[in-house]
Amino acid sequence: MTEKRNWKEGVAAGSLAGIFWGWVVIAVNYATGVFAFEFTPVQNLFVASVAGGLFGALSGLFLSTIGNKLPFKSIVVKAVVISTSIWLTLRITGFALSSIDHARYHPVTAQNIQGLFLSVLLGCILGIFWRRHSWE
Amino acid sequence: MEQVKKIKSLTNIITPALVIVAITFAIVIIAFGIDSIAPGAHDTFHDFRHAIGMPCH
Repeated sequence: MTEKRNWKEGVAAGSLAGIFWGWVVIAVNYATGVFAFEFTPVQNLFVASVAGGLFGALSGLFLSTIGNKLPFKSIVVKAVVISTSIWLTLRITGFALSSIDHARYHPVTAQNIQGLFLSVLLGCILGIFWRRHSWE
Repeated sequence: MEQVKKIKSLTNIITPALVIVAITFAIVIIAFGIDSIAPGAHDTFHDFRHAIGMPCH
C-alpha cells in the first residue's frame, strides 16, 4: 500500500479526515467544557464539517506535496507536524493581530491548549486515514 | 507536441498552488472570522473557532 498520493488524493483524503476531525472537535469541547457553545449541536456539527473539511484538505494537500521532503519516516508524524504548523501559524498571527486590537484574537489559555491538542489530533487522524485507505 | 507538454507541466504546478491559496484564504476567513470579506463568517464559525483555540471578543 503506497503512502505517496498526488495532490487531488491529498485533498480528498484530507477533506474526509477533516470532516471527521470537525465532529471530534465538537465532541471534545462538549467533554471539556472549555468554551460554552452558543449554537445547537446540530448546527455546530454542520459548521464543524465544513470548517474541519477545509482544515483537513489543506493538511492533506501539504502532506501530498511537501510530505516527502520532511525528515520523518512515519506518515502520521509528518501529518502531525503539518497540521500543528498550520494551527501554530494561525495562532501566532492571531497573537500578533491582538497587539493591534486587544479585544480580538486574544489568547485564552484553556482554549489555546485545547486547540493545540486538536491540531495534533487532526494530524493523527489524517495520518492514520492516509495509511489505511487504499486508493487503488 | 513539445508546447503541449510544457503547458501540461505548467498546469500541474499552477493548479495545486492555486488550490492551496484558495483553501488557505478560506481557512483564514474562518479562523479569524473576517466579516468584512465574508459577511456572517464571524457568527457562523464562532463556536468552532473558539473550540480550536482561536477566540475572539
